[in-house]
Amino acid sequence: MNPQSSTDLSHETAVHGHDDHHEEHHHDPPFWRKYVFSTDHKVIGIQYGITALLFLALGFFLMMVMRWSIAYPGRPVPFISHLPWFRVWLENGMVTGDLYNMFGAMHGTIMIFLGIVPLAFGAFGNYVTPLQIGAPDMAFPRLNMASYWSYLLGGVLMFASFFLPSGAAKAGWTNYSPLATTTDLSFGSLFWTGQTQWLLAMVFLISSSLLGAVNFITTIINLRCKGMTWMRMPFFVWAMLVTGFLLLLAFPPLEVAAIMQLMDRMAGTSFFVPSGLFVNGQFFNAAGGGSPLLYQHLFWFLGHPEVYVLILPAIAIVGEIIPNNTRKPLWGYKTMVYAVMVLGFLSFLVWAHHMYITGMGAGVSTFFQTVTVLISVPSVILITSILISMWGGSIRFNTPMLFATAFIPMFGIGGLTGLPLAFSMIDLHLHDTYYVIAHFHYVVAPGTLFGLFAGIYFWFPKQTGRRMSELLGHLHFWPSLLFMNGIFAPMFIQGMAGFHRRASDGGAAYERIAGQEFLEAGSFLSKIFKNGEAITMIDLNIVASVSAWCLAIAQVPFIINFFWSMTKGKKVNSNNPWDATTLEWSCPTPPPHGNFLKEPVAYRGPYEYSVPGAERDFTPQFEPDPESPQAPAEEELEVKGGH
Amino acid sequence: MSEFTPAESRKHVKAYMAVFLALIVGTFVTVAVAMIPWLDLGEPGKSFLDYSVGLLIAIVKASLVALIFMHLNHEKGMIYKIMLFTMCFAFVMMFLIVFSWWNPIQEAFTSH
Amino acid sequence: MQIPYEVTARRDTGLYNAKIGIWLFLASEVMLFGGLFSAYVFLRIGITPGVDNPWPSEVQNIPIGFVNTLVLIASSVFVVLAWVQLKMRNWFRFQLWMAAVILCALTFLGLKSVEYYGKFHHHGLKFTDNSLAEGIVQEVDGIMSDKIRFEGKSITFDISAKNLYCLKAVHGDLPVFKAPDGAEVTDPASWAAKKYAADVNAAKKAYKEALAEEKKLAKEEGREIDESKLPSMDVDTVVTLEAAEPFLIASGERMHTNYTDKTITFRDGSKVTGSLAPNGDTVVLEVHEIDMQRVPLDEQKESMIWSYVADEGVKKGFFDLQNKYKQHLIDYYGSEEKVPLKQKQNHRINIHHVHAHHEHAEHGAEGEAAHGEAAHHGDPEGDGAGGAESSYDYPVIEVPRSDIKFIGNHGPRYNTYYAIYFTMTGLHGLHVIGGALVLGYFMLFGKKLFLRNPEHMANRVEVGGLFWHFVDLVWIFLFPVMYLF
Repeated sequence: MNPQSSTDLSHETAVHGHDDHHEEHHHDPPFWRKYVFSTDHKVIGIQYGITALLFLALGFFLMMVMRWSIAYPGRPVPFISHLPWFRVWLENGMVTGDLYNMFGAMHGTIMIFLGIVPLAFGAFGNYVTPLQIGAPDMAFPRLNMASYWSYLLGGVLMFASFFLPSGAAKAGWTNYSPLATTTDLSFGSLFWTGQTQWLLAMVFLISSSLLGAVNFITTIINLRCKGMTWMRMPFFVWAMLVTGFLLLLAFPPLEVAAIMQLMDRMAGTSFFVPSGLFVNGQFFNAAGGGSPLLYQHLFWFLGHPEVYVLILPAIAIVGEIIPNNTRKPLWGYKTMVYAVMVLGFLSFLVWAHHMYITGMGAGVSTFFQTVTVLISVPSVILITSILISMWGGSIRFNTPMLFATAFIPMFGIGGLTGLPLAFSMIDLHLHDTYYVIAHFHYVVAPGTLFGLFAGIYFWFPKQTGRRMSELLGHLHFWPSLLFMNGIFAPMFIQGMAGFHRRASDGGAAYERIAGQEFLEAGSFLSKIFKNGEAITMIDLNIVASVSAWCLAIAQVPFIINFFWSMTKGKKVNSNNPWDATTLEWSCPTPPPHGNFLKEPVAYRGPYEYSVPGAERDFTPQFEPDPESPQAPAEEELEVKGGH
Repeated sequence: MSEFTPAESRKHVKAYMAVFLALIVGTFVTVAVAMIPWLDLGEPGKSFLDYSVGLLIAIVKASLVALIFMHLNHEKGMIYKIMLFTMCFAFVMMFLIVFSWWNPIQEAFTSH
Repeated sequence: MQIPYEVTARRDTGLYNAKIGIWLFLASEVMLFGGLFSAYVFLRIGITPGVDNPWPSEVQNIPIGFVNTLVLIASSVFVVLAWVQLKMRNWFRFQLWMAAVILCALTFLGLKSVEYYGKFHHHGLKFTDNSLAEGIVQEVDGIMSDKIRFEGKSITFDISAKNLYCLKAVHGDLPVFKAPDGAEVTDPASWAAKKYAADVNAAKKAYKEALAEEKKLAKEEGREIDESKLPSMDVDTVVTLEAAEPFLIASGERMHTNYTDKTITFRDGSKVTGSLAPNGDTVVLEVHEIDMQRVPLDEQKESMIWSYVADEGVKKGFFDLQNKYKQHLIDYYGSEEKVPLKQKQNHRINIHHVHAHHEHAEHGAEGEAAHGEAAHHGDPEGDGAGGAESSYDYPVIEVPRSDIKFIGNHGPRYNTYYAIYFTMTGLHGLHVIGGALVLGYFMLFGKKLFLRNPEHMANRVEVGGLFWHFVDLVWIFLFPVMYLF
């Protein structure tokens, strides 16, 4: 690839170091080396993707069981209450409070740490980033493999904890101490409880993310191809760079918190155990002197940047798809780059807005309110730029574009409803209600997930050489959009009415709140659904739950589409089926190990669509200038980074 | 540093030895400030001044290690940028976490 | 396929891949230890005086920490010297310097374990009036006397418990239990599980029979089935077993949650009924230090600790030193009123200081002042070597359980200071081990790469060295923060 390194030096890090020289009598590595313990970034990306999709399905399943308990408390769960394994958990077929807590905690953990982050950062980042910057692979391929296996180990540990006598962790995905410290202490072996295993699994997941982040940042800094200057990098790569830094710098404090909580549980220390703590009416036998506030600080120091880890890859995917399908350059590319950097920076300074009601000092809470409001500025810049990019374009509404377009209002709703929560006095009222649930789910579920679906539809032809079915894509998109809103929109109303998020009966126990009128008696809808009786707030639980189950059904076309298109989908007729401009569309389909057949060169910026005077409506980065077909001078192409 | 001549290496080793000496002296001074009575600064016992001197010496020692041993004195811009952001976030984390003990409203009520 | 810039630096960034990688890794390490130091500061500031345990910064073994600092600094120099030798392409000298580094690492870890050992064998005993005696717990009849000795007669536990804590705490042979049906039980957990399964089956069978009966009746009488007439399917999950013969329990603070003179409850919820062993409910402690930080000044003379440490010389020595220090404060501030409240009085003495003090007093007055100062300035041989010196006549006290508020060794559990001390130095120790393994690997197995591509080897050592310097850098902060101030 590079003249400097083509001399036969060491091949310690590149496993297939000699491939370049023996291309003609090259023989395939064994199956397990190629697909299981692979060091190829594309295979690892796909491994990440499939594992993450499975975990997303598991998290979704947990949620559906919870939604049953919320909508129909005290009634046996249909279908699964007959499964022999499941009967152990349910009490007379009904969801118990313990089970609800367990599923709630694991739903959050699985969706965030095992589902979305690995899919967004692990899968898309791994597959697309090296291709877009013209690198043959990640900078440290074996480290890349290690980070996948560390992730899988963490995931398996987390999943296995369901089968322990204590069950999985049940102190919420935030695992707040002292509740998390004192849960399940009565089980014979403290080590083999879900709560302890959660911490252990987190240590593996954190290690995986750290290794991944080191790898990504190094790759982006050092492995950009000739001509790929900083400002010629696609926005996706920028987002990955910032995401990498967020993971790198935000995860270690959570590791600290996990280690300390592990010490609290296993060695009896009192990091997060205050003096004089009573648990279940019994004095908790520990030295005391610790502070639960400390745990929350360390947790949310990760927790908030983590939110941007969830959303940035999705914004970036949308930012790739929208210029491609509007056939216009990304509006304000530079502004977006700076906005994403400011966003990354500020995201480290806002964490305590999750902690207004913890009793931390008012001085510090004022600071966090201010910065939280500030951080909405770069977020709005990003979304606005993407929105303006669509203005006046001749838009192709294919499936990836549908998802990408839907992402904008969905993320907008999620983001804007977060603004009130930034103020501590409003937060006092809304904290821990369904309003908060609706707010961050709008960001993550119809927001990030739609972005990720768009990415799957968009890059699927590159991975398989076949397009996904448009019909099934539409069948997937429209119901998903409808039911996503069906789930989360009622939650805003319920939350403002005061429904608490952790009630396993969906708030039925609080009659005053539950009985508030939503639609008056005799209104049109009440006549249809409730024989003319007033529809109360608690009835909205059923709307959300039914939407949730319908959403599950709406994913069936996607699953069919995914597997069917792999073998039966329409074959693409070129390496660049979407007429896109970035470098990943210049390599063969699917890209071989080592990615590019000849050394890639970036001749121009990433979004040169509809350039005036050009023959076609797109001018790819990898095409030499038609005016002067010979390659530009060396200095001109040399990356001007490094500053 | 692809060219590494013996003369250059002697220069390097000289710098390393000087830092070595400085680090040892720094360690002695820190312990002396903490333990020897007539070096007790400020108020009797361990006071703010003692802590400050101890931490200041530690920071100087750490800077020497980072600059000379870890070659940060002539490193590339990218590394500086990365470490600058890291240090910034580490300090922000420490100060904001510690400042959450500070409650001006409570102080206003309890001071009367 | 060849990854570019593996060995040579990229032109515009001026860096090879591994160097960026290691600096990024160090950045995350900065955040890791940053988080730990934040926790340290947060916990230290947050101590509520009089409620939480004080942070005893003067109990550390300073000489060991001091030597360890020097050892790490030396190893840091050796690493760069090794790297210089590699740059000069001198493999043998590189190996020599690297061997010195590994030796330093081993010395560091050795000294660290001596220190840890000292802490784990040093106990603190808090009396009910908050006065604190520290020293070495003695053994009584083969049991360390910080453990509760209890004569058990029966155990009660939940059938879900597999790993009965109450049986782990048994001293000597495991007891044999008598089941209600007269059978001998040696493994209560599996016996209970079997019994539970049998009970459930029996209950189910009874329920089925009753249900059939009820159905028949209901049909005859033409009514709905009356659930209330059916027997309950609930089965006892809590089992109590009597022991054939009383057995001896020796339980530490980590095992049980609470105890009375009739029962003792363990962390897994199991319970042993019996009685506190007749002569077993005392703690025997060889007192090395006395600490009164949490006893109000005017109650210190009447503290219950003096009824156990009956040595008048020690008591006099304690108050002599305290007065001397108080005088010192008054001299400094001008008058007694001006001494700020927060100024720590001298409430802590090491008993061998008192002895030394007496000797000095006999020899002349000039040495006294110095010792008065030394006592407030720290007790260098706190937990480590100090405990091993037995030439002093340490008082041995025997305290009944009823007078004890808390007893434990200076492990992580003792208070938040020890918790963060062990966590931070432990994590740092793990980094030392990791670094030493990597550098040792380069020293032993790096020759092949060195012969093929010496620059690549030099890069590797540079990267490994960077990590090693960082470990040293963390210690530079840990030493003053944990040991001195």
